Amino acid sequence: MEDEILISMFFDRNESALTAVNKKYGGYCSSIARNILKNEQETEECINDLLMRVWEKIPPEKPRIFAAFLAKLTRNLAIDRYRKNRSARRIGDEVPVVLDELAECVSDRTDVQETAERAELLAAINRFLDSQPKNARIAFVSRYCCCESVGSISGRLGISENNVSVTLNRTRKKLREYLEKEGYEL
Amino acid sequence: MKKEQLFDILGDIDDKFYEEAKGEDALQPIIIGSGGERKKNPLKIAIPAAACIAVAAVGITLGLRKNSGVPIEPDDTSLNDGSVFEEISVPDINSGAVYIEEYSESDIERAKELIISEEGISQEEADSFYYRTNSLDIDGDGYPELLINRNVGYTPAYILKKQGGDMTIVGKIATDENRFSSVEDLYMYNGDDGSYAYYFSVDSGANRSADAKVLWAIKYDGEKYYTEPLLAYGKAYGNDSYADDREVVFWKRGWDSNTISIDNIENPISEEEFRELWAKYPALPEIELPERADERFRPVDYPMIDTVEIPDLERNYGGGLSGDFMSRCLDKAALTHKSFGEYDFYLTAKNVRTHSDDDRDDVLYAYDFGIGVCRNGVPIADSIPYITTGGMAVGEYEFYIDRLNDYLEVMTFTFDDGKEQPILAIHYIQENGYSETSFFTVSEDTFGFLAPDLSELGIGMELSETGNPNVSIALSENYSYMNNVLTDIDSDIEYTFSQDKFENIACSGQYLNNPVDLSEYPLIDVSVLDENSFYEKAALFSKQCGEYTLTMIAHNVSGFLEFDSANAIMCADPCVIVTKNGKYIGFSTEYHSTALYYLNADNISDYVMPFEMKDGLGYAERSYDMNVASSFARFISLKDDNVTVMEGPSSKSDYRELDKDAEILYDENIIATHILNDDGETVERKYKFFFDQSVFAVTE
Repeated sequence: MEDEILISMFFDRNESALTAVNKKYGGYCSSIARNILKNEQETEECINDLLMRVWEKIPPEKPRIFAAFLAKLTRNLAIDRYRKNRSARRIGDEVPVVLDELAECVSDRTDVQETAERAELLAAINRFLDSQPKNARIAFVSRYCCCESVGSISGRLGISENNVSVTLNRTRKKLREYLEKEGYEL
Repeated sequence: MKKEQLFDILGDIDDKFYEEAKGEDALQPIIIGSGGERKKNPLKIAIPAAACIAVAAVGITLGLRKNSGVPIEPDDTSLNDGSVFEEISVPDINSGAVYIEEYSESDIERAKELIISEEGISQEEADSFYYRTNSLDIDGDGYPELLINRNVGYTPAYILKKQGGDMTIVGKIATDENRFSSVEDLYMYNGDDGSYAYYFSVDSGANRSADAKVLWAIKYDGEKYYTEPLLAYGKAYGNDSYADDREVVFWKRGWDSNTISIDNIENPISEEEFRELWAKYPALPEIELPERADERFRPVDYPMIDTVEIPDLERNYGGGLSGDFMSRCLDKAALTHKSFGEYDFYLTAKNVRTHSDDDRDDVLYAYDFGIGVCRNGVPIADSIPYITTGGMAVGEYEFYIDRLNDYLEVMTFTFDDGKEQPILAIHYIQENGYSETSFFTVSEDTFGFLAPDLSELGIGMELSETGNPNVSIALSENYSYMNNVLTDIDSDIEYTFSQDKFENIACSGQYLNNPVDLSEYPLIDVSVLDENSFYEKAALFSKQCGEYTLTMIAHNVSGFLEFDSANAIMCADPCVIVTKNGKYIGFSTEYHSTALYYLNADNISDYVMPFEMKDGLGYAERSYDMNVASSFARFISLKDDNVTVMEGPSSKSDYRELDKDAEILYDENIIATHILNDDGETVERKYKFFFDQSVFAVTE
């Protein structure tokens, strides 16, 4: 089903939209949640939360790219769950690994305080990603936005895990260099 | 900046990056299971797509809670995990008490009221949670039950039926800790006395780390139907990097003791055991595999398609496979046909049509595509390719109309005994780069599936039953499998046929066993390759190891620029050939089922590091990665002119993400490398080489 039709079903408050979203994007969103939560029950609950959240958000929101809209919502919901449950150790360990890798890009000391600064930084990261080779960009986004495992990325891109790791490593370094060059205090 | 802040900001990157990264298979619906792996079995009940949704919405059925009626065996009413027998009281259909074809809105509302009453929750809560599903004929009486569950793909789920004009709860499906999330398909065995055995193929969904089956028997004793979750078995495979014990252990029914026991995943029952247990079970009769005579492939049922006569239908969004929609499709057709000797192979499809309203006038769509095989014109088998991707809808596949001839390819392979055997490749062509290929072979009347990676297969049931009781899959019948010899030309993907799981079967690839004529592999200067360079065969470097010459050869060699390095080369089948005085001695290779290999041209000769042992020569063959210094793949002995892989750090999985150089310290007989430990720290691991025994041992 086309995304436009799907979204219009939400605007019509047609509950079948939930079935359709689950049918079309359930696997995709589950994979993102699962990457973060590493727990099937938590993942299922996260997807249920997602569907409810989508129901609440549309309308008034009308996503431009529905898949990305769902991916971001899923990511945020999963990370909320992850942080909530972290102390209880009910979840997996991909996020700490991802965070440790990202630590190579920053000093891990200062805070990004202002909303405006955050927006500028986001714009800079978008520009950086635009400048990267496609495979490197896909690997980076899959890893650090969707918390996908290196093995999984390797399988999808058809290159070895080592190649994925090397690509990620290089991209992290390049991101740090880029942000430093752009004048950010990391 | 804190790393957590960067992590949060990365979540808000431009939508287009998410769109780009999600990949094509991301759109696989949840009911197929994560990872897109799709296994089909010829025994699959032909349930409509709408029913598939119902199955998905029900979630996993690892247990049944008693609702009413008399259990089959009193002892079984209290099992360790709360799963008990369930009786479904099915009235006499002929009495007219059951007359449902479809459920109305009022039926749904009535069903919700019943569930609300059962669960003791408010109407508001029910409205926010209860999810309507479609119906599924779960007791096999030809009349569908209504399935309703809380949340989506979540539990509990209820089976309701309209009886005597009123809705009644006839079953409630509980789960075992909601361990599984998705149902791949519904399968069925038919008994000879009205008994049925349904089993659900489920996927833990976690990185394809495990596969499991749940058998759900439904027995009709002439008066009542009885259901029971009989057995679950599972098998772990794939990347288990985070699979904990809970995820890879499945319970199974104690067939003799009527208890549920935890069965360690390392010892899952086999299909044979499964059948034995099934046959021994006292309460249900042995159930034979159905002959499927009416479903068996016959060429006459699948006329060759005429591409100008394909019905063009509007997409039936939301309508599923309605009778009207189905009737307007081309019911059955052979999309292409290939012959080899006495054999004919057909690529078959059902419900063929085009959807020009999809703006895809170059493709046709179909459900349930498969293969039919005839020998001397007599059908001997049919099967279903091992394909993960599909079209837009569940169970739908798309085919490029102008390329139908390319979907089937017949090759030959010469086995050790000199026998030439056809290899059938089914290319599921996807021009977006997600093409897949399944391989089959046939010998006499036996048609078998060649697994691209046996570690990814489930238990034998996945592979059995090709339509003829005499036809069985050849996995355990001394077939020789190829090793790294097949290439999907369409997608440039190399397929590796792993022998790891079947050690008693000799690895006997033609390419690897036959002496390689190095004159066919000109030595090239890899430092000057660019993306326009291409060598079908090439020698990448050559170096001496005493009187031996080590030459790395590869196929389809070209430069590769996307690696941000002009010195990366791309190739297939990298392999080290050992010669002595110009005579072929043997080879070594570190293969994985990777699409292509990227090698570092700057350090190309470092992939092979000769060393001298006390009693002979050898070399370390580094893993075929861009990072030449990262690790060793294996250690090779050349003692007595035999190219032999020695014990040692041969598992690549031990070396994750290596950044530091490995080094060989010959003087101390120590080989050191660096690995990441569980805390993510790089540590050094040393291997001591014992000259007198030619073995390595880890030394800390």
